Amino acid sequence: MKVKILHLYYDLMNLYGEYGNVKVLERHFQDQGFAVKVDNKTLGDELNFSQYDFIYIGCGTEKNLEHVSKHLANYREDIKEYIEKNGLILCTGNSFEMFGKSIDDKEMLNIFEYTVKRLKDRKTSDIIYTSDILTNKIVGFVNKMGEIENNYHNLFKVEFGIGCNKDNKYEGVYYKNFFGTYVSGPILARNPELLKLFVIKLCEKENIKYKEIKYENEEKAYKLVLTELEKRK
Amino acid sequence: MKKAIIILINKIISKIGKLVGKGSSLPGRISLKLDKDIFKKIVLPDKIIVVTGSNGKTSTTEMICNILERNGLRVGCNKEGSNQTEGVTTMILNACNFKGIVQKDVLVIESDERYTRNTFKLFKPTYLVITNLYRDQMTRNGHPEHIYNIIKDAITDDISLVLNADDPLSSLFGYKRDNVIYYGMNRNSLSHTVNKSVYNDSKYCPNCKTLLQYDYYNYAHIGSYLCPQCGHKRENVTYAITDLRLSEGQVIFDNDYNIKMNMSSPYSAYNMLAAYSVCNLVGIEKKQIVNVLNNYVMQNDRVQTFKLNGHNAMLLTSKHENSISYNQSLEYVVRENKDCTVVIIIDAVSRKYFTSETSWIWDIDFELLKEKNVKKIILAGKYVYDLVQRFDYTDIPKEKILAIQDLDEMMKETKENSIGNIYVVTCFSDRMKFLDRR
Ligand SMILES: [Zn+2]
Repeated sequence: MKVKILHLYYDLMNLYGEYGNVKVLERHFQDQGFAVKVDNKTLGDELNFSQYDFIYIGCGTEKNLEHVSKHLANYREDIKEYIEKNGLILCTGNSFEMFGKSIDDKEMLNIFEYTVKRLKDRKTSDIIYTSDILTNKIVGFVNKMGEIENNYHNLFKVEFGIGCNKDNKYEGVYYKNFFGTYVSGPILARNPELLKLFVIKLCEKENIKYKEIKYENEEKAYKLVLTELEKRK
Repeated sequence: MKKAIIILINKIISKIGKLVGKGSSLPGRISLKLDKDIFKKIVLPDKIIVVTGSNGKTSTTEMICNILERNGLRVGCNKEGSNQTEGVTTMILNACNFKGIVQKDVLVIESDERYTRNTFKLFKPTYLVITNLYRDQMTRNGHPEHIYNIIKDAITDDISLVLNADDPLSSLFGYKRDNVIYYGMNRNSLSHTVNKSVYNDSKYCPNCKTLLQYDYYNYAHIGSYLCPQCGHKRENVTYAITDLRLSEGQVIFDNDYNIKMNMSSPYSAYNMLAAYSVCNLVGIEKKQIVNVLNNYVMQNDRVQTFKLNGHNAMLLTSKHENSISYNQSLEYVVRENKDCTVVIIIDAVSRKYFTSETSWIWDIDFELLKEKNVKKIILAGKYVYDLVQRFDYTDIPKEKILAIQDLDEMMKETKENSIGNIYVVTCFSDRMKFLDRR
């Protein structure tokens, strides 16, 4: 039982401790009995998505995103195929911006219909989100400089804080096994249920029965943050 | 309104503010409301030094003030007040006589990075010292490149820049520009050739995002680099740390000047060098500067020593949301190499406002504490479980680590069961929570 994770743009898109997401995934996959291999790839590397069971991209500066989006554009058909074939992929922070049609007047990968408008100033906020695919709420922080328009595949509903666009209460992108959200940092380390969702998905893919494991500290950390944020609603 | 009246109001409100313990922003805010062009009507001194950057600006500003004062200059400084536009206004108007003439030979101003563009609309610095730009309070600052863009907007050609040549991002302000003076640390016994930090924000050139070639690092990504694509590089420095002997507590400037350091670290050596550079630029002799810097004791020292139940204890004030400042403390603990207990407290996350954002603890090199001399680690405070989780992803043996959320219990444990020296690593915003429980 081997699992291969691709940490794509591990260096340029790692602004808010996002490597933590890969660390916890690796550990939790291992706890299910998988032998895990993590490949770190970046600008200039050859990419071959079909060999991976999970692809992760974190948040970067606006300038870094511009550079990596040019690199990923060379593999547009490949990544589209990976997504269409139900490949697991998680993009946090601004990284999902490049999967839309455009950022201002710059063309992007055009895998989804949405467009991105760069803001003059940053928008930041603690957040609480909900989702139909989760029982528990998502907690975290958004630190962004874009607004998403024409998004037809929302992942979250905004309960507290800001969403993708100031005119509605939705956030993120959810299509097949593609998950994108502006929530930055180690979102999986902070949201045990979201992490578990990916672990279960992988177990299903590999036809393995998911083992229930208690991660007490992670639960406690999550509950504390949720309680603190709920007070501020 | 007449400027004399505004100056008077500014002084009166400041006096009242001081009596009731209010901050220093209000008088300046009112003065600017009364006349937004007040700065056009007052006479500023010929020399204005502004210090900004992510880390070290407070220490650097304080040292510059002291050096200049001890050399007979009348100095206006905001070292005790706010570093945002309104606080700076308060200080300057208070230094005016009623004719609107600032009664100082030089102004030395610490400026919040994000407020430079507002502040510089009121007046232009003669010298702008930028200490460094790295990850700091990102819930508020976004990220270092974002801050770079903000400062860039504030800089005009007539300002002389005094830059840390060893930081690829902040030195970029000098790229293909005249009127720049660089300072930096030469290769020395502490320099190394591999960057082992958790993250590396200067792996790529900040200008063109080509891989940088490094000769050496002094700490984190601070060192000597060259971009093969656009030519951005560590420029030749006018002022240099030519050697750093931490074990002897000594730093050597420009080959000739030996300075005894109170709390020796590469970080404080850089701050000293920044102060030395700009003071020399305004005309103070190097020898005179060095006399003040020798055995210099910071007014707001980040380190406090005391006894705790017979143990030698030291509080190393770090800044939440600033991994470099935490690393600075952890490196110190390891460098001391004494058997010890390390207490780490995160009780309130932000120094300025509420947030539960703890991503920054993933950027701290906690791995440093795997050294043998660290016998025990006590993690404490409200966010202790985020810390525990982070430590879970280091190679530090679990049996060394104790997690205690409640601060009274943490103190009891620290007093009764510490091994060796005690180092408390926390933010100034949380430090009284420890000190008051002693
Ligand atoms: Zn370059």
